[in-house]
Amino acid sequence: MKRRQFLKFTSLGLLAATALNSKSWAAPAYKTIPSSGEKIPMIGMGSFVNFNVGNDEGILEQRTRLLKDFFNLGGGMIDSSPMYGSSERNLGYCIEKLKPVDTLFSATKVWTSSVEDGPSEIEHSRQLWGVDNFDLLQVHNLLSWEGHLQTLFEMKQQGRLRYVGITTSHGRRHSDVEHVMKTQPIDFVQATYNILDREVEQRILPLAKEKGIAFIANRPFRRSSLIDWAKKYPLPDFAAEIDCKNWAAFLLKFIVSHASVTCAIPATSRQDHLAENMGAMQGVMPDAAMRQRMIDYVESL
Amino acid sequence: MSEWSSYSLHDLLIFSPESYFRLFERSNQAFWPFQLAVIAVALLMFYLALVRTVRSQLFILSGLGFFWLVSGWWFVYRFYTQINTMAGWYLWLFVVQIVLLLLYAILDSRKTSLYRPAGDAMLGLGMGIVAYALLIHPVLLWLAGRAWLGVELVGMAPDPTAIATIGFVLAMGSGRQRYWLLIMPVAWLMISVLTYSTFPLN
Repeated sequence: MKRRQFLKFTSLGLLAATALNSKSWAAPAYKTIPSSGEKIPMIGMGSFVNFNVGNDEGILEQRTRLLKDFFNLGGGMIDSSPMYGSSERNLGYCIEKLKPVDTLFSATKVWTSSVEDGPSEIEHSRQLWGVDNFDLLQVHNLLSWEGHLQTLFEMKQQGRLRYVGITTSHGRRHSDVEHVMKTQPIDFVQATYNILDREVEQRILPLAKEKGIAFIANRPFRRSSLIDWAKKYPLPDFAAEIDCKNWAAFLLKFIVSHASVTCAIPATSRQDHLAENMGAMQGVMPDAAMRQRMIDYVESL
Repeated sequence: MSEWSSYSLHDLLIFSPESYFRLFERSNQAFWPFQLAVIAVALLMFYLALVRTVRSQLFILSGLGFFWLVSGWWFVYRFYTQINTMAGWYLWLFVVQIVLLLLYAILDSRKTSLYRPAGDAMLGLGMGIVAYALLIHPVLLWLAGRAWLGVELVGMAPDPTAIATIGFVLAMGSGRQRYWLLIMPVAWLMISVLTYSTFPLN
């Protein structure tokens, strides 16, 4: 992370500190990657569905404005995958129009059962994104993970990649994820974590802390069904205590306030929703007691 | 297998309804004004099927083959593959259907009448289905909120093309072999229904 970025994120953190009260702790807008000490914004951007829009230039102009807002609001990590149709191509289209983008933390995945095909797939992704190197490459859903991790570790050693990770979602194969976390020197693990899907709290998040592995929370809104459902109900009164004016900030603050969570990656195609998401990086963060109140409230709905 | 069974169809769909519907708008815009020719051919096929001459059968079956070619090449290959990595596989349905239609046209349709007898219930049902695909289906989509520019037309969009094919085959299929012509349209419509079933209801 460049110094300018660091100062930008630090200032957001100081802003949050001014809102400290007895119920909660003030969190900075960024979190630390344990393996390097680098700080990254704790709200990122997913690209599943929202950037798979084909060669639709009218829509791509809007998505370019969306990413511009994302970076202006302090965003960093964008996560994608070759599995997401035209998303990588379209991210590259938008990023090219926004260059230079100092704060981009590019994260994608390798997703092929053939280990031999891994390097060419990664190179194709790199060309689609239009980046010199990726910041983070992850083995998608643990597909052929032994061979792909070997490839990624070699790339990291050669200076062509900064971080290595693995992903899962929907609560799948957690025992395999734990095995990789225990046996491989990975930097990142990505799994599903939100206020209703909290299985990772049992073993994976404690293991991430123990092993010094950054954690990316996917499906923060269960695609959109969780937030669409929550919006049928009023925000609790205590949401004001943690500076949440909307459900997006409420649900995201729950996720990123976990000490072992590094980043959450909500996907959106709407600029008003993006502003709500990025608002989760501002103000007071819930402490352990507040987090329990948040769970109790949502589970009572 | 147990892992895949834990995914819902919604989880596997990698595009939004908005992106899917935009494809029809873009394909209609890019195809203009050739829709007029396709619609004219479709209406002529409908008329000929009502008149029921033997000579018209070759034209109708070839016309259906042409419609599968256009909807497969133009919509599925040119547009749908942009957002759906599975769409390339769907093209095989179109290839098989074109071959079957042409075989039926060449082998069976030139000398003897394939039409169901006048007054036959299947004839009425078939022509009713064709009329639905030609006229009612686009209007229903519009009433459901689709932009006019994004309506799906027989000969260009796969759904109404498959529906119209079923109608024509029911109306003018006399031999047992005609049922082969229903397999691909039904398969496509099942794919389409599954796709729509994953879209959230707003």
